[in-house]
Amino acid sequence: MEPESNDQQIKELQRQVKYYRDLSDEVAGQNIRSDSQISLLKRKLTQKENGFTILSALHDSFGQQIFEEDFIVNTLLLINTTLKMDKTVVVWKAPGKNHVFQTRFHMGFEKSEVEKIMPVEIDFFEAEEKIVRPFIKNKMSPPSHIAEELQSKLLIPFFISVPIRMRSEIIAWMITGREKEAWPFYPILDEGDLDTLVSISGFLEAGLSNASLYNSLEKANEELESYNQELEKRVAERTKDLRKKNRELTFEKKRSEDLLLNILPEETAEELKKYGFAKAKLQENATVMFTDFVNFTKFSSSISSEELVAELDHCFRNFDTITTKYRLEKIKTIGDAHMSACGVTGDGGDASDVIRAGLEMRDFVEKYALEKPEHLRPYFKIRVGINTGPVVSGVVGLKKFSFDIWGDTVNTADRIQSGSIAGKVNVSESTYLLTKDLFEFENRGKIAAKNKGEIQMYFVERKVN
Amino acid sequence: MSAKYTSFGVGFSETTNSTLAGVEATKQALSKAGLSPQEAQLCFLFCTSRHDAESFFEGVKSCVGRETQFFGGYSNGSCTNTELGYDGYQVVVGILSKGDYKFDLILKEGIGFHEYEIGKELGQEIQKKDLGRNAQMFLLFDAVNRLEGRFRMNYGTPFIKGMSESITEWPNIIGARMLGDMKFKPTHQWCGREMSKNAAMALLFHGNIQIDSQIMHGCQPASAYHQVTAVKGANILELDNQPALDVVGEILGSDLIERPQELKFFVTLGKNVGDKWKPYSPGDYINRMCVGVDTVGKGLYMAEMDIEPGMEVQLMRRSFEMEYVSIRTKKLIERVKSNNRRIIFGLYINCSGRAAAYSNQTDEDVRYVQSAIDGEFPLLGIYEAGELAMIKDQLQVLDWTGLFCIFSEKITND
Repeated sequence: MEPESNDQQIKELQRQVKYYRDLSDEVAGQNIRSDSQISLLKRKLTQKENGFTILSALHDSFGQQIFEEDFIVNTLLLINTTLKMDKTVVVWKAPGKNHVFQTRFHMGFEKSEVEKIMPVEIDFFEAEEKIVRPFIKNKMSPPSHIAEELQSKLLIPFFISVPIRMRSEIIAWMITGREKEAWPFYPILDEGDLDTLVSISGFLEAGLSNASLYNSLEKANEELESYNQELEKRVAERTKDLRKKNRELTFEKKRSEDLLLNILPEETAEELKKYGFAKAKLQENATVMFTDFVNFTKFSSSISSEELVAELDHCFRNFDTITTKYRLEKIKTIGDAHMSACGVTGDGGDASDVIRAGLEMRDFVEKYALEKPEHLRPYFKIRVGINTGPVVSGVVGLKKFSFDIWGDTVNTADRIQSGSIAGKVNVSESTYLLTKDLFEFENRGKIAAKNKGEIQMYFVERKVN
Repeated sequence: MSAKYTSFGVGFSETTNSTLAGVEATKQALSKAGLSPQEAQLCFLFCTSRHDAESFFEGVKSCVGRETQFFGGYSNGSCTNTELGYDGYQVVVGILSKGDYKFDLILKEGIGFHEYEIGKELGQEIQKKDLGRNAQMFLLFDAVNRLEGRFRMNYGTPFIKGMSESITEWPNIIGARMLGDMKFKPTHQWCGREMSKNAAMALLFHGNIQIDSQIMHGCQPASAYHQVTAVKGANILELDNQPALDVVGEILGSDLIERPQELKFFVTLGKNVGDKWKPYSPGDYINRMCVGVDTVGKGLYMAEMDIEPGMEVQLMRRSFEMEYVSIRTKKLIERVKSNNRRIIFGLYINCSGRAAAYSNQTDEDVRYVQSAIDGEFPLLGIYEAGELAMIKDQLQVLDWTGLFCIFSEKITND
């Protein structure tokens, strides 16, 4: 081989080496650039994916009650760990201060930093205009007053700031960012990150609305519960009142009924209560008794009216007790006379009970007389007259109802009383015939009676042994 | 030898409350290991920088015995057999029972600006133990130097150089350079019973315990070789006798030269320690990530200062096959088992940059490690800023790499 030719060959080989070497470097450059571009794109895609992961996690929170603090703190944690942010803070509108916001929630700050960021107040104003739109502060951003204020007060060098609105009003700002911007580990915050955070703030707004709604519901429930308790308390008090009133009413009703029964026979009282009137009825076998104090007119002039009424009251109270004992109906008193009967309310009655009552009334007065001074004793004697026969019984009139009986049997009973003598129980023929086997009688024969002619009368002596 | 095998359990939590996160993870770990608090011999613990280090440590300590020793620090993320997460509130706790082994813990503070000195002092302490090459070492050091406020990486090259000058015989080493996030916030470490900062520390096992590891390379050579012609520390000033920035700018696109802070993230340089013309072999490459650009000197600041003039480097593509991770994991498991060893637990130290969120990967490589283990033994994983492993008998800081380690004990018939 010629030396010149060898040199040429070497030169040629050197050219080849240089060619392949340059080509190799060129391909290397392209490959490394491509790798980096892919890495960058993948990083952006991953960041988007991470954003969706957060949105998905936030979405899962809905459909149940959201608690404001937990929800926000969890969101900040997701932002820091998933979007690889170093620090995130939420500043809340200060009460009573327009446009001024104060730190409320934070994540990723060291203890000493927390002490610094907690008391800060931030005015979201730029060039005398209120800030309402999200904004980025990255390495490339031009200087701005608000960015510098946030950087210095919240200790985040590079950040994205997004408003959180409720009912169209900005109630808070979320500021999240990094301490460093260095590609590829911490790429510059860009519009893609901003979009992600705006979406997250949208979910925060929805979450806060949910929390607020649940709070309102809880408050309403609490109010309702409190109202219910108050109502229940009132109902309990009212019920207690009503029970008391009811007891009083029952008591009053019983008193009223007792009073009514004092005035009227039970059957008549029931009829009157039910229909508002009581029909007069014929009673075939009534036995009517009259008692009358002897020399009452003279007695009444020897003592005061009050004393007289007191004495009459005492005696008539005891008469009433006796008539009740023998199931007689007290009809009424007329002056010093006491009128009672049996068989006037449809229950048949028994004439012997009337006689027994008459005897007991007489015995009572005689015994009572012994308690009186000697000069008054003659006045404490009664005449008793009893007659059996048909009467008409009932209530008449509209006011001051009183049960009464009418008929000849009644008039005759009065006459039998008039025909009696002090300390004696005088009965008519009809009564005698009904009770002759039960008592011993003294036949007095026919005795004249006012407007009645002569009437057969008997004194009751005693019970048959 | 003990008839009872060593027990290990892992717990994980993402709770934002640091104390509670420590408690949750530790209780899980104890429960899975089947240990009482007092039986916890050694506790591995890691959390992200979002946590309060002191509170987390208190939480963990409250669940174990007074004699339990601790080893761990910040990590950008963590994993177990089923869990995986990074850049959040992840914490991971691993608890090791007593076994047929012994361990020593060595801590050296002050690594910032003094990587070489601290490496040397740590090496001396290790050398004093005189454990020889049979010792198994888990090495951790703080990646973040913020002693002057501004971030500066703690370099592994001078640190390892310092160590190598003190250690006559290297033990088997795996390890990591720790960070708690991708913003390089100051970090914390725990060693023994104390919490520390700005430190390097070593856990030295000896006895019936062994660490086997598999490097999961993540970069492939993409360009021609370029010779390094001028270097200042970790700053590569020239490639092929031209400003390094111009060379890579020419390759990657001149528009990037106008945005040098973006350019740095495209650049990974590979150093082939094998035959340069042989087909690509992952085990022959040491990768270096560019962490900054020197716009004045037109240089490239690398994550390590182990690139020297005369070396040839290639631009690397950050790319790997997930199947590769799976196959390598399974192979290591089979290899350990075939040596009549029982696996106590697996440790995966992963480069934070390999996480899917930061790379052009669609999957997490950790998922393939988890799947390959298939619950056969406990897995504790951490995302850090550099992996430490032996390549060709030399301890190296690796970038863009996963390091799968298996802690095992010899099966005995006692």
